[in-house]
Amino acid sequence: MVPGLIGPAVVFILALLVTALLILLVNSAFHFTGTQVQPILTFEAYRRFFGDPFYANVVWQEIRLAVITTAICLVIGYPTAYAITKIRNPGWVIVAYILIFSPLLTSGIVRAYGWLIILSRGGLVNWALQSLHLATAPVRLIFNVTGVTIALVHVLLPFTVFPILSVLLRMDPALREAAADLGANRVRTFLRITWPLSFPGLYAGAQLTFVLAMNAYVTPQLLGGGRVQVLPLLIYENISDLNWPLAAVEAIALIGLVWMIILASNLLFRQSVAIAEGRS
Amino acid sequence: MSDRRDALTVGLWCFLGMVGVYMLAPLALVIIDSVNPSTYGMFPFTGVTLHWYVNALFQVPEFRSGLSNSLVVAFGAVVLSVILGTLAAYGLVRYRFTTRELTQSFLLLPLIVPAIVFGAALFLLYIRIGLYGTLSGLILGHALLGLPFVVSIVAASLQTSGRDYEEAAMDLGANPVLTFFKVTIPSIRPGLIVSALFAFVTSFDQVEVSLFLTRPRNNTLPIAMFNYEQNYQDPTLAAISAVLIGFTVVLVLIAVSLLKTQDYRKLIQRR
Repeated sequence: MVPGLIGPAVVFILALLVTALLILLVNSAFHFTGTQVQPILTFEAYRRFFGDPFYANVVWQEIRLAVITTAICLVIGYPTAYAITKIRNPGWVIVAYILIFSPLLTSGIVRAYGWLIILSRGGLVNWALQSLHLATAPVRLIFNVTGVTIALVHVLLPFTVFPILSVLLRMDPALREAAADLGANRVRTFLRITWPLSFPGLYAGAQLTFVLAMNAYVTPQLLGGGRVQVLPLLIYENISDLNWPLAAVEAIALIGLVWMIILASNLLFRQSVAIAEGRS
Repeated sequence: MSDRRDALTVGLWCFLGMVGVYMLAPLALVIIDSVNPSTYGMFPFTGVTLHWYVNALFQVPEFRSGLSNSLVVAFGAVVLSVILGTLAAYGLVRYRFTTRELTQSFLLLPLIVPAIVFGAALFLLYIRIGLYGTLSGLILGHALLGLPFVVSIVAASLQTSGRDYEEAAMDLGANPVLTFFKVTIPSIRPGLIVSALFAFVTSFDQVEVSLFLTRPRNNTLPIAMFNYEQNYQDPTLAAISAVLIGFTVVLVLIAVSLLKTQDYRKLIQRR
């Protein structure tokens, strides 16, 4: 019974995705003549990727972009999730949910175009700044890291808020009431009860946001204006230029990098939890 | 507590309001800009026009063929991923076997692989087996992307719906297939509707994977818009985007109206 039920889905993934990923992996070792790929195992794309400082710089810029985006998402996302748990009117709760999760229901291209209208030279923000005499010349807010970060934070915020929100909602209200009954004020209750207990949600949200920021393609492509180079952009470029071995190595590097950072942060998280538990 | 209007509470509400403005700003501005007469989306407006809507719906042939391709692909992807995903979820929840956890993780694989890598890999496969540039190739790719959503949402529904009614039906003589269609399917209806909505939106808004798998003459709507945005950037894009936002809102409203009151209770119970 079980193979008949699960089999089709498993075979579907194996036949398409796993096969495709294996082809990509094999291609990473092949020789690229400059115009076409030859099935000779040279591993030259690996040498180029790990030897040329250009790629190290791209990786560094990408990690910096993802870390900054994640940090801003946490700073905005935590108070947002906390505020949502404090809303008493069910109607307003629904409004808040719709607002926070609205980016997920719209295409990345629609969102990028919206940011273009707001942030471009003749856009809303520059018009407002100049009308209010806060700026004499248009401020460059788009086609650079600033624009990409603003748009990435916007689309990734739901992924930061959701895990924090679900941890906060699951928290036993008796704990906070007990703290209040024992004389702790709201700030102290928050710092000693809510904050430490919500830390796993914060951590999950940070990880999810970071991974999605690392893998983002549409936003850096449309709002980076060629000034923001990240691995997903290079992968697309190299596939288009028929340099599949290099694209394959970049894809492997992207996946490997994300996994390494996630595993390292998991180790760090477990250690810090262990230390915190040892202290209390 | 809730009526206290102290600085902390007021500050929290102000902050939430600002976040709301930030989240809504790009979508609201797209809709506003769609009636802007200025070609470069300049502010302030010098009037109001519906010219861009006419342009988007009638003058740009790529948008119209893109829309019909997108609808065909999304429909195909939803049907395929909901059927495969529901069967798999049923097997995962209702049966115990040794490789269960491993299988469950494996079914999430399409979600774990970065979309751009997913697209690049499928492209290399498709050019070998002749699926490159075909709508069936796109349907298969998009169905893969929707599958993890269907499996996890339907599995969660099955966990809360319980086996009691299924067992009762079988005790009364219904065979497993009849039980599945007469008892299981109705009881997981909300999960099926939500997962179909997810799979549809995933496919309909997909860029990264489609980018690799479409030919210039056989684009989906997001790809046609992506190319247009890189070349022109006039409010035609705002008009087609406004149409898409409206379309998504209608879709969500349809899904909401399909859910009955007791369905909401089931969805909330899961939390």
